[in-house]
Amino acid sequence: MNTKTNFLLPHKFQIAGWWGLLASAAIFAILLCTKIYVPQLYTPPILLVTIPFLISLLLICISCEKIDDEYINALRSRIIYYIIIAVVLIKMFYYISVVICTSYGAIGTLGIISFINILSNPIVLISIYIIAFRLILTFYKYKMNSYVEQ
Amino acid sequence: MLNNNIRVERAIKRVSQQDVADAIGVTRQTIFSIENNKYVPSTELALRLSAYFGKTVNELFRIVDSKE
Repeated sequence: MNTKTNFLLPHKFQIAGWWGLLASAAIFAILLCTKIYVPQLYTPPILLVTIPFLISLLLICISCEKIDDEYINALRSRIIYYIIIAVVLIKMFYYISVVICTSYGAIGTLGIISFINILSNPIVLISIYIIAFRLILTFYKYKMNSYVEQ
Repeated sequence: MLNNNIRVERAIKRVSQQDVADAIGVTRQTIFSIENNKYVPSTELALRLSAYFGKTVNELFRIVDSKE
């Protein structure tokens, strides 16, 4: 019996999420390669890619690991905590930079600053969360396996 | 800082981290992190560990003054 964790979907939803991610990438590749339609944002065919992509990301985020316990839950909370801090800092940096650039007439640099703002986009954040969580789990597994039990 | 005797108790009982993890229903990572003082377990997990090793929670865990 596992120790208490937050509400999460069963692990099979995570597997479905990874397959969905792969499928959306495949659809995107087909759309690009066939040249029948050049995908553009906010047009009907791109929904074939974006909707499965977003649902897959969500499924990966809200489903539990094969063996999920309070330690993995604590790890999740810690990553979300750092992401929130990062978003606040990015937003703060963005607003300050925009004010400074517009005040001093450096409008040309606004494009670069806007790119930084993309980092606080929810989809980018979910992706960062998934990548960070996977990397940390892999790192701990590697560290644990390199440890010789006494 | 919370210190623990889990590694010692495990050695006495001659069980691996995986055995403890399986018996308690957590991952091996959790046991590894607790042993290395990287993670402080919840009361529930501490009680499960104490039941598994047949020791009281106070015998397994102790608060160590950081100045020590």
